[in-house]
Amino acid sequence: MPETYNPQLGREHSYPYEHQEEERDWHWGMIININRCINCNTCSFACKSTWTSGEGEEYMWWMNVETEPYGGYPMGWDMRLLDDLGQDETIFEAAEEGERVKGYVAQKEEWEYPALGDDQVHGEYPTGDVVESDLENDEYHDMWQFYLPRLCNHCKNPACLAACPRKAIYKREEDGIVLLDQERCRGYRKCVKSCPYHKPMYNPETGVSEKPVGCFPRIEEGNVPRCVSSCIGKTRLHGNINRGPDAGHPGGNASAAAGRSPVNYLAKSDEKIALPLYPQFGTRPQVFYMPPYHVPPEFLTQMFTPNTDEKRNDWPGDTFEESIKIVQDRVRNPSHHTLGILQLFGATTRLIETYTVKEHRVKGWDRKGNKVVDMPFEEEMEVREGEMWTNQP
Amino acid sequence: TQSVDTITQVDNPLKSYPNRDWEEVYHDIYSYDRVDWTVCHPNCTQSCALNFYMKNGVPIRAEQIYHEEEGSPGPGSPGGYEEAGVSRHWNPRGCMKGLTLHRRTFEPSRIKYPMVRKGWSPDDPNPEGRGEDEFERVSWDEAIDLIAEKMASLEDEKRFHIFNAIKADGLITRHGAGRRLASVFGGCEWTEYDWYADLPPGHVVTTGYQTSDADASAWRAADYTIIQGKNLIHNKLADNHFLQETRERGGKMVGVYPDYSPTVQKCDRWLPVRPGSDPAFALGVAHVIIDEDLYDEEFMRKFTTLPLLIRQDDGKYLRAHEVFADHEPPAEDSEQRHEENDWGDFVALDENGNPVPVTREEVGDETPVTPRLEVDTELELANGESVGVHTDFVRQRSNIMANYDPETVEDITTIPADALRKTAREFADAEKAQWFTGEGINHWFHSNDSLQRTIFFVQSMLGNIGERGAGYYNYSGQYKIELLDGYPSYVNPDGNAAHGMYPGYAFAFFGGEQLDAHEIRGDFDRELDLVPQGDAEEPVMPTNAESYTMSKPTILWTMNCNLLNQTKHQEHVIENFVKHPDTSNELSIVSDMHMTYSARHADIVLPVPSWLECEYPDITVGPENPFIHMDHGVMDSLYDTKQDGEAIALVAEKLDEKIPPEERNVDSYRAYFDKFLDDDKDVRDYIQETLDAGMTTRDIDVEDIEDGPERLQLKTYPRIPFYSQINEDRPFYTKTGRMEFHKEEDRFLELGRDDLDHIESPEGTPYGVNKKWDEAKDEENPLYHDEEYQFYYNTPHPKYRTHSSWGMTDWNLIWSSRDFGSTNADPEGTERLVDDFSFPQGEGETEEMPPLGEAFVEMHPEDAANIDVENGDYVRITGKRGDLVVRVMVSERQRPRSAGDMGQLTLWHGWWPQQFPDDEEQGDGVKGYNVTTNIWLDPAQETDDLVHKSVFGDPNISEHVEDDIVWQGAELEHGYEETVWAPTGTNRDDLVEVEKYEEADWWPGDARKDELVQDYIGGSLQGGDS
Amino acid sequence: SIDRNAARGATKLAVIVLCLMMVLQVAVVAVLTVGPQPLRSVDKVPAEPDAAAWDDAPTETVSLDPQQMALPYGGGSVDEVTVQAVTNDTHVAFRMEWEDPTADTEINEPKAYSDAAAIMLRSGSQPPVAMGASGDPVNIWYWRSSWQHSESDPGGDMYSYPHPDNETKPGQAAGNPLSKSSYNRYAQNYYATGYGSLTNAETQPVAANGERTDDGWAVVFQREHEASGQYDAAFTDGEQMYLTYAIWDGDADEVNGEKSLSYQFLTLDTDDGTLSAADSDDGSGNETDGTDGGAVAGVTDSALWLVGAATNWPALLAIATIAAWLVSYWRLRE
Ligand SMILES: Nc1nc2c(c(=O)[nH]1)N[C@@H](/C(S)=C(/S)[C@H](O)COP(=O)(O)OP(=O)(O)OC[C@H]1O[C@@H](n3cnc4c(=O)[nH]c(N)nc43)[C@H](O)[C@@H]1O)C=N2
Ligand SMILES: Nc1nc2c(c(=O)[nH]1)N[C@@H](/C(S)=C(/S)[C@H](O)COP(=O)(O)OP(=O)(O)OC[C@H]1O[C@@H](n3cnc4c(=O)[nH]c(N)nc43)[C@H](O)[C@@H]1O)C=N2
Ligand code: HEM
Ligand code: SF4
Ligand code: SF4
Ligand code: SF4
Ligand code: SF4
Ligand code: F3S
Ligand SMILES: [Ca+2]
Ligand SMILES: [Ca+2]
Ligand SMILES: [Mo]
Repeated sequence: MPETYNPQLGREHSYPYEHQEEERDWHWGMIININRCINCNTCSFACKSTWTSGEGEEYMWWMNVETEPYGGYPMGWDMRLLDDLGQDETIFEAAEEGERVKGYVAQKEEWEYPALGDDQVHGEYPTGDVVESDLENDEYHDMWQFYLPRLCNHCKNPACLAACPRKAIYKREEDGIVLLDQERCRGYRKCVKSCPYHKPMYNPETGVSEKPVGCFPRIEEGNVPRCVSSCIGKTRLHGNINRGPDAGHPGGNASAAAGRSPVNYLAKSDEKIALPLYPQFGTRPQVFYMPPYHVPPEFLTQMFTPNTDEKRNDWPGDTFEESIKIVQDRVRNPSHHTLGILQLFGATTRLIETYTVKEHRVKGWDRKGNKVVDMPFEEEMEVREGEMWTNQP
Repeated sequence: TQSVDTITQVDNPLKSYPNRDWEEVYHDIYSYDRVDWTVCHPNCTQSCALNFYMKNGVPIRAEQIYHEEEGSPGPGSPGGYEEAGVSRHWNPRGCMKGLTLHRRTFEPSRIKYPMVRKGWSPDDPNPEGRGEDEFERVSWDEAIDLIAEKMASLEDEKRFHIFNAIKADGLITRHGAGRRLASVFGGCEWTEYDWYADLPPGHVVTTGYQTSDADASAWRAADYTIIQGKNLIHNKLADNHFLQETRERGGKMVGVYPDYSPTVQKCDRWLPVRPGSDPAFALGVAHVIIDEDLYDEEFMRKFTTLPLLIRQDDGKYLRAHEVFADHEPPAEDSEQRHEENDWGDFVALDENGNPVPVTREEVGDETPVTPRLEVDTELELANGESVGVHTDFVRQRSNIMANYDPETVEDITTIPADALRKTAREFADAEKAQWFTGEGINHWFHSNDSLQRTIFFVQSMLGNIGERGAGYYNYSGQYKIELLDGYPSYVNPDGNAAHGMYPGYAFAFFGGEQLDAHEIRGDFDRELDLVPQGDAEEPVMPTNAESYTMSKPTILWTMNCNLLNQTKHQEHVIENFVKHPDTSNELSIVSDMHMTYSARHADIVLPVPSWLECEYPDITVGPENPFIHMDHGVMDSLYDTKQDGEAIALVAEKLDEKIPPEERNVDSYRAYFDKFLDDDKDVRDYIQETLDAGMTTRDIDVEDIEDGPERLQLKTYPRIPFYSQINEDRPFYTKTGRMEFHKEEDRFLELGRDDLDHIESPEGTPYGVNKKWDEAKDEENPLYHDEEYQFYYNTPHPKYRTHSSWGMTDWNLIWSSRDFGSTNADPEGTERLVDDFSFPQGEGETEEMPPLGEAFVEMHPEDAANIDVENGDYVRITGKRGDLVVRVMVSERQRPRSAGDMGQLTLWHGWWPQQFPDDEEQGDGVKGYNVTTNIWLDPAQETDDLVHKSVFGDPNISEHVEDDIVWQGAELEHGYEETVWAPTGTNRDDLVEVEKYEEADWWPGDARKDELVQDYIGGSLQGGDS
Repeated sequence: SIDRNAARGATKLAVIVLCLMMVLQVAVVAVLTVGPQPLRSVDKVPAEPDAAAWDDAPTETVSLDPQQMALPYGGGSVDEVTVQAVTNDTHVAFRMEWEDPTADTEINEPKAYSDAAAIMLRSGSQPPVAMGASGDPVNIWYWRSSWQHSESDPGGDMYSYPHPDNETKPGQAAGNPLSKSSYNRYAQNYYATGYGSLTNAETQPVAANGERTDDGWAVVFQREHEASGQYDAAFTDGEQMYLTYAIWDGDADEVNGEKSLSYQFLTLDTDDGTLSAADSDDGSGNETDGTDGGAVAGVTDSALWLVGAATNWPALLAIATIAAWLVSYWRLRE
């Protein structure tokens, strides 16, 4: 099997297919600020009502939000794999003989309770005490939960793609979206088995599997996905994760800002504030999370870092636990620049390709270079003058 | 390419793929024929505009309106709410329920045509058959005729009652039309805001103002937030992000809850509190602020009663005429005082200790002199007598300092004293600090005034009022109708106004069997003077509450609410009001789109279209956003429905036929509804007239809101409660013109509730009931100790429903049912025990549907283990007033009994009865989550003396408003006013017992005990050798 | 007829070789039991597996082995299949019967797989066993028990389905031949040029019918002699037909490459009507004594193709395994 360099792990590992020589100019990517998520599942309902409301799709939630640590759709999806996986071992390396990827097919019943554990919490009731989080003093909630929005990551090493014996899953050249060919799929369910995020799902009505489509019909039009545009928590930003600091003006339009995309800034800049979910699986997921800052770092290290003793990648800190703590702090106390980007979340349904943060204003341009957002950090307060006005008429 | 080959071979799918034509499949799924928009407006009070994407005439999905893609402009595109004059920070609005409105429209629970209960006839209502008889389909004409005939036959028009709860839910065609009919007919209107316990009485007591909430965008400016008994992250979904965003801007958040409410996860600190002990917490905070001199004297002097003198002998505010011989006294007669808005002037001591008169208008910078806050002295009166006086501040301070030091508060609340101190100091230190409360405290007999009053006290000691990011908010329910101030012109036409009516009385005393009037007023029983009042025969009303209207609801027409499901004391209501042979209620009409529990118990059921099917437009507003919306249908009606406005208009028309002109209340009933009926007339004219008649809307045209939401024209944007009071020296809506902490009204004095205090609950406490801590702490509540009712029954508002709405919408039901919600249901549970997921149809048939989930109660693992209950088993919950069987979800969120007092059971409210199993052992028919709750009526809230601002209009600006504004000349009110001043419900103030009912072998079981799960939680799962 | 000791030893050695290459491979054990069989002429080609016409038709028992040449490996639940063939002027039919204690007829759950059977055919020359190769297409006939015997209706618990049905079953909307709402012909006709390339043929002339026997399944495949589609196997006089078989047991999660198959081609001589093991001589139709020669030739054949596709890692593993086995086998036999 060819080897591939995985920057999330800072090392090479095997992957069944050769990568393109150069990264795509444009690749689907998403940031989710967990701290803003209110578990309304509007995103989930938006996705479902758009893509999977047909017969045979009843149990399918391409987008779901689960409450950590007790939630899980399908039940215990990550626990089982974590348990089976060795330290520093990707699902490709851990594949059992005769297979390409390590995984398992969750039972029907395990898929049937999408809201299992919703809003539940873990911990002992703090009788006679309080629950407190204070990052400066390394204090985190000892009774905790958080909401984890989960969707297909349109991975750069997609396990689903690697596992399909028919090569019926492919990565789109133009945007990196990973699609499952509905015409060629034969329902082998190796994708279902191998995706560590359990996002390809089997449709018993059509006998074949489906996987999340990254809202490609919207991306093609320059709009953000449904789960992003619908998010009333304003937890999300979507865009070109591959657009780095050296990129030119979008659409060649000189009046639009050049340089990196806002999602790239949050995931890839020196001020990295968003981390992939379970990078240790090795799929290079392209959804990046701003981790919850009240939650104990041990758990988050397991969830959002390669979780190895030796830290090989370029994330901040000397150990991964340190990386987490640094990022938690950045999320709790965002820089002015990051705060600016946070205002772009949910501001427009247009896909923001480039942006600027200047003083207390933030602007964004779409892929054609049209300005689509131009807003202050805070609205001006308006007061009506005149005797006939009062605040409570 | 390969795509045209007979055999498809793929080389490297990571790089390229031969045949991508199939992708069209998803383009087709995504595609639509047409976009139309309307507004989702349940009683979540948010009102969100949504685009509906239609295919073949059917809405296939909804999206929030700010979508900017071509072909789906929706209202106000681009920018969505930006078009309504706010920034894009308000995008997007609309939660998962809005996104399933179309699914709700297609639910099998829809009522499909008008129906009459087979056992009912106008002369023999046969109430025992309610809820059991089959229905018969009738034509609209027949149904309308039956209603009008019964109305025409009433001897007293006041016996026609309408309950039309959701005032955000459509103001012209829905709520407004019902109220307008009651007004012109001379009937009564029941209220919702107080009855459902949304009204926070402590706000009215302190400020004279209904409820002081800001626009959500103001939250973000806060540096510090205390949130207590409010699950804001589930109950203000659309605009919640503004609160979350405070934290990115350096804001800190502290939560006060007995349970780990979902909102706790967002808090930096959680202070676990004994249920119902909340007032003591705020008193403890006040203690620290006073003790450590952290208060803002200037603010206190300017805007509060704290510098005013109170007579120590009778607890009344000292009046200027008592001190100054030449000072004009107010009228002798209290009624006259109210009429003249003159309750006398007040007295303070200046810097030199000399008394000065302070009038109601002299507030803010107009406060005369710099009054002393700390006065405790004898004062010589004009009549030569000398009386002990002290300032309100000294009064509150001495009580607080004596009784509520953090250590005592720890005893009361279980909140550690040091954590309280820390919180109080930080809160005081913050530049802008806001405090939220909600139903978690509103539903407690005492919290709903004493806590609220104390929070205002804290906020005014810190100057946290009248500023963006500072304030005290409640955000329960809907009252914002008051900001649509042209509304009275529509609902009270030509001076005809419906009588206000308090549902609690109807349910408690108008049934066949009466409750003991004392029983439901806590332990104030025997001492309390209750006398017959109004035209009711039963002895129920306390003295001093003449303004309550008491008339038996011979006809009760409910629309826009699921009254029998949402009512507290449900079993009593069903058995003694609804089904009792001697009930006063002879005709019960329910208009709804769904066959709710209430509709099931009606005599006449009228089907209304879903919000997507409506023909007539309607307008809505909501308390935490600045918008006015107009909704209208997007699709043809599926069934034989009529909108409320039209049904009412048809009744009005029939009334003209049946009632001779001389007996009518108005010349023609029909004339008030002709725009619903006549082809050449337009309902939008009612809307325009209403807009024109109000300050906040007079520049808005129907055409504007037809294109999308607009912003109401208020004093400030964002709306800041009391902005004018604090920044422009306008008086508060109290007798003193100030925020009042000490209350001098007799009822408060009689009950010993004149000052800020903590009083134990009338039922939900292990300690002495209805007593201040001093006494209560050494007593035992026998219900708790002897009868072992040791659980507190918590019924917070569900996320995936609003109340009972969306309760039968497939996706929402699955998610609402959490562990027990599933596409195929749990064969061991749901299917076995819930065999009645069906809805009666007019031909005696029922429509069945697969149960996708069921109700559950959350219980702490320790408490569950104690009665040998595992996740998924069933328990019976028994209260003083009823019992129910329900499934258990073991939940570490809950407060265990071992925390020292009451264990907590949480059962989200709004479940439909079908979602509970039958009690096969006891077999009583009434089931639902509300059987154990009580209709507590608080005698403190049963007084006519309290002064407040009426719903519409503002006395502070009356003179400056043009004559064509309908409420021009509004004055202060006193006593009962629906949605402003009335005893509120206290659904959470009760104790229950819980026992195991049945084991259910639920297979996902309690996976949480698994070792794997423990390692996972600890972060050590991965890394083993495999 | 095979030197079992030698074979066993060879297997051991092959295993060691493979371990060195990091992937465990099990040797190909070609146990050949075939002998010449007449292709019985009948009046009417039977469509039912229990038709009387089969009673007199000679049987051939074919050994099956797990698929271990391409990832994912798998199969092995069924170790032999009994095959028969009959013909008349226009049609040809094959009958397969095998033991399978579990009737897996539902694919209504993520983990539910159907029992299935297939015949791979080509006339003229013997194709590479791994479902053909690039430029070397094969014709595959496939029967699935679920198409014929499924009783469940897996969808339908929601209260509403507002989207148009024909669009929201994406497999169906894409025209996927596996996504039909019902099947009246229980076979599908495929072409392939190597594993991974299985493609539904434009022409669907094959019919199948499978029924439960006491302890397994019996399936009849039936088609006209004439080939209608581009790569359909043509039953032309004088052209030898190469056939091999594969069985999937749903209960063992067998699908796709995970199947039990015969590495040994049978030949169907349309001249003299015998169904027999193919020999090494590509396309000659000469009879062999049914020993290892056929197997070796068949495997070598595939190996040659596999060498051509040198970038194919699993294939290389397979080649190495086979080479190691063959070398050892010959050594040990001496
Ligand atoms: N999705 C959705 N949105 C809606 C609604 C809905 O049904 N669904 N309803 C509306 C309406 S009309 C209302 S009144 C609000 O939902 C009320 O929400 P609120 O958060 O105030 O009460 P709730 O009862 O829900 O939560 C109260 C919290 O307090 C906790 N609690 C309960 N008891 C106590 C107590 O004794 N002390 C304290 N400090 N807290 C206590 C409770 O656990 C919950 O978190 C508005 N929006
Ligand atoms: N134990 C306990 N008890 C509690 C509470 C608690 O926390 N604990 N909370 C309260 C509170 S705060 C509230 S505000 C109530 O639950 C509100 O219930 P409500 O009946 O208004 O809403 P719901 O959503 O249930 O019903 C609204 C109905 O209106 C229908 N509807 C909606 N639109 C229309 C319309 O246009 N016309 C007509 N005629 N009907 C319409 C709707 O179908 C539903 O049945 C109350 N009780
Ligand atoms: C060692 C030789 C073989 C190898 C390595 C192999 C490998 C594979 C692989 C990887 C697939 C899945 C990819 C795809 O759909 O194209 C597959 C599917 C399939 N193969 Fe083969 N195969 C072999 C022999 C055979 C034979 C001999 C037959 C027929 C007799 C056969 C019939 C099929 C069929 C019908 C499928 C689709 C199965 C399903 O839908 O579950 N294969 N094979
Ligand atoms: S998340 Fe799963 S389905 Fe999505 S691309 Fe990655 S491996 Fe494939
Ligand atoms: S990107 Fe689109 S398809 Fe994927 S989860 Fe979000 S809404 Fe669903
Ligand atoms: S819509 Fe946004 S806030 Fe709501 S659950 Fe999804 S990610 Fe969280
Ligand atoms: S339920 Fe409330 S928050 Fe949700 S869309 Fe409707 S109005 Fe908006
Ligand atoms: S493995 Fe491949 S065949 Fe379909 S079910 Fe998954 S895409
Ligand atoms: Ca009962
Ligand atoms: Ca089987
Ligand atoms: Mo409410």
